[in-house]
Parts: sequence; C-alpha cells; structure tokens
Amino acid sequence: MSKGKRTDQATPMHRSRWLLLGLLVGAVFCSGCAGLSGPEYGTYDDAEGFNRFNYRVTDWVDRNALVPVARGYNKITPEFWRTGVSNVFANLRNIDSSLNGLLQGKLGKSSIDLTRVVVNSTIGIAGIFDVATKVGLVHGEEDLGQTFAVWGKTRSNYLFVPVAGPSALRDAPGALIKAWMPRILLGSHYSIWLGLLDGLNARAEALVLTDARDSSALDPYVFTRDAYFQRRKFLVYDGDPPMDDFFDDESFDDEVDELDAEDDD
Amino acid sequence: MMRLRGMILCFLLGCVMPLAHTLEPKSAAVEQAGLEAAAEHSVNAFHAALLSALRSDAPFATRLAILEPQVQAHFNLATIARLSLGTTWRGLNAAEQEQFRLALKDLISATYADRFADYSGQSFELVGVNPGRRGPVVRTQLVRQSGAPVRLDYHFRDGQIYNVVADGVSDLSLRRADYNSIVKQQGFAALLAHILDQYRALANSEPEERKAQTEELISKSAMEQKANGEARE
Repeated sequence: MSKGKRTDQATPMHRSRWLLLGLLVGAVFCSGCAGLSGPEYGTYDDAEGFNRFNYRVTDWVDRNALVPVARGYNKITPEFWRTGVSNVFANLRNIDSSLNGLLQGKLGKSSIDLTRVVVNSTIGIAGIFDVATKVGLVHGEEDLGQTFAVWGKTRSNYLFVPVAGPSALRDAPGALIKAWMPRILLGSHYSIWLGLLDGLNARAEALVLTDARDSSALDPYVFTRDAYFQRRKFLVYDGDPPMDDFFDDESFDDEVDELDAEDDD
Repeated sequence: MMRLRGMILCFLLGCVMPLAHTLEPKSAAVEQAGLEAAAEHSVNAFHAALLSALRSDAPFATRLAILEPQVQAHFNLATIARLSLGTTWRGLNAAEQEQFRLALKDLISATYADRFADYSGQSFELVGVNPGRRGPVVRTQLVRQSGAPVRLDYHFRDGQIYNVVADGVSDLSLRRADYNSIVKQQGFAALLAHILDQYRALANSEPEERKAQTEELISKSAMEQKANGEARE
C-alpha cells in the first residue's frame, strides 16, 4: 500500500471518528433529556429487566469460565507478578486520567497524572513499578464518565454491560475508551494475548471484590448496582463527597416518620 | 439611693448576662468535643480488636468470639436494624424486631471475622473527626502493604456506630437496598432465613479442621436466640 493512498483514506476516516465522538457526547447528554428527576448521583435503573438479564448472563459466564480461570491464575502466579502486570496497564491508562483531569479543569491533578506516567514509564521500568505513588504522586482516577458528571450530567441510568460489568449510560463510553487505551497508545503491540493477560489479571484482582459481594449480598444485582452508583459519586467528588447529603439518612427517617403520621390518622 | 442601687444592679446584670450567654455555647462545644473524643475512642477500640483478631491467626470461631462483643458494644444495632429495613420495620412485632437485630449482630460480627483473616501488615490510621448532623464521623484509613489505602468512615449516632462507609460505599445504604429487594420479592421471613444462611456460609467457608469449632459456636448462638425469643413470648 502506498503512503499517498493511506492519507487519502485517513481523512474521511478521521472525519467520521469526530462525528461519532460528537454523536456520542450528544447522546450521553440527551440520554437524560427525557428527564431523570431525583437526587444527584442517585440510583436510576429504568431498564432493570434488561440489566438483570445482562447480569444473569454475565454471572453465568463469570462463574463457569472467568472465575475458575482467574483462581487458577492466582494460584500459579506470585503476587509481585500480578501487581507488576496491573501496574503496566494502569500506567498506560493513566494518560486517560490525566486528559480527563484537564477536561474537568483540575490542572494540579492532571499534571500529577502526567508526571506519574513519565516517572513510572522511566524509573518504574515501563510501568512495572509504581514508583510515583511511593513518592506521593497519587493516581487521579479520572475518566470520561466523571468528566460528564462534572460538566453537569449528575444523574444517569444504570447499564449493566454483558461480561464487562456495571456501568451507566453516562459512564460506558468512557469505560470503553479507558479499556481501549493501551491499544490506542501501543497500537498492534497491544496484541490479543496482551489484551487477554490484561483482562485476566484485572479479573483476578477483582476476585476480592466479587468474593465480598458473594458473602454479603442477598440480591447481588441490587448490591452491585447501588455500590456502583455510590462508588461513582465518591470518585466524582475525588474521594471527598459533601458529608451532609453524602449519606442522606434523613430520607430513611422521613420514611419511618411518614408511617408514623399515617398511623396517627 | 434607689437609682444608684438600680444602676449597680443593671451594671451587675450587664456583666453577668453576656457571661451567661457565652456559657451555653461553650458547654455545647465541650459536649461536642466530648462526643467526638468518645467516638474516636470507640473506633480505636474496635480497630484494636480487628487487628488482634487479624494477628491471632486463630480459627474463625475464635476471631468471631473476639469481635462479637465489640460489635455489640460499639455498633448501634437497633438503628442499623431499623434503617436497613426501612418501611418494613414498622410492620414487625417486637419479637421479630429483636430477632432481626440479633441476626444482624451475628452477621456483622461474622463478616468482620471473615474479612479480617489474613494478617499482612495492615494498620489503621486516623484521618480526622468531623461533626456530623446526627453525631460525629470518625474518618480513618486502612493501610495495606500493597494497593491503595481504603478509606473507612464511621458514622455515629447516640454514641455508637450506625454506618461504615468504605471508599465512598455506605454499608447501611447497601444493606437497605439489598434487604428491601428481598423483602419485596419474598417477604421478611425469607430475608431472615437468608441472613442466617449467610452467617452459616461465612462460618463454613473456612478450612475443614476449623469447622467443628465454628459449628459448635453457631448452635450455641442459635440456642441463645431461641431462648431469647421464648423469653419474649
């Protein structure tokens, strides 16, 4: 293939990519145009039937294939290997965090994330060692979903993505970008095998979470969903949500009080 | 003469009034500081128990025996039980409420005994104490050898913990969502049965040689519960 031919193809390609991105941002913001009313960062699940179906399918695949493989992987690999693998891919995804920090106007956080990538890619040997955290440069943990939330999309409907896990209409595009980040940066060097290692390692690291879910949840679907929304709020507020409305126990008591009032009638 | 006396009286009153005024907020502030200190003390005691259970390398039953009295002492189980059931709570009779409260106490203790099983250099750090609307919030973090620290915020009401928020995820909110979903689908009796099952599952998830000890403890606890229920009737 000649070089000239390639650029000819690239131009409309790029244009369609931008169009797609524009449509995506529009779709994310309009997904709430119909209007979700209720508390900010609350739990919204209009498509519960659909999501529960996705959850059941995912859970079946998880239990019958992913979990046994992940447990086996945990058995045959030492912890430093898993930490190293997780660090390498997290380092690449840190770029995404830095960009979104910038989009949210958090210049300090954004530059810390960028510094992390530089430090960990060099001194940390291609990201294997997370040296940055040790010297106090803490991961910003930003993503596009949080950027949309900061821009005003504070309510979003739940979306359980088959196999991938819990998300929201607002968060899913960002999660896809984050997942795809190593491929964007490394190109074909991020082969299917590296992708599988990435995924398997991530599933193995998440076993702690799913085991905790299994030992605490009676309705694991609801448990996962509510934990997801709370976790997202925590991240949007950079780990420091306003104390008062953060855990709104007033509404708990109000409900009981309302019943009291009904009894009085 | 009268005028002078009146003036002196007014003067004295004028001196005392602002004093009296400052007295009240001061005592409220002192009370608040006392509440916060007590809450912090309570969290420290609970953390010390968690660490001792963690370090003991003992079987589940022993860890549970260490933690159960601590949960009983430091957790506001009545509030947790009421708020986690929401509207359902009001429809229960006193015996059912007590049964649920006891089941929760066992489950919370067992969950901690299960989570704090393998010691690998964990420690707790105090981040700060905030005055909350209902009571102090003690903010701490669990520092681990590998991985980021986990933020643990203890929310107090009436001098006891009624909610623990781990990295932004509220235990009470999750419990409430989870339990209400079950009550809606299957009713309260099923919820209670599920909780007891869960408790057993936690106890049975440990290695074989430790099970016998645990089974004994569970049957003891079940008998106590039954005795409590009968005493109530």
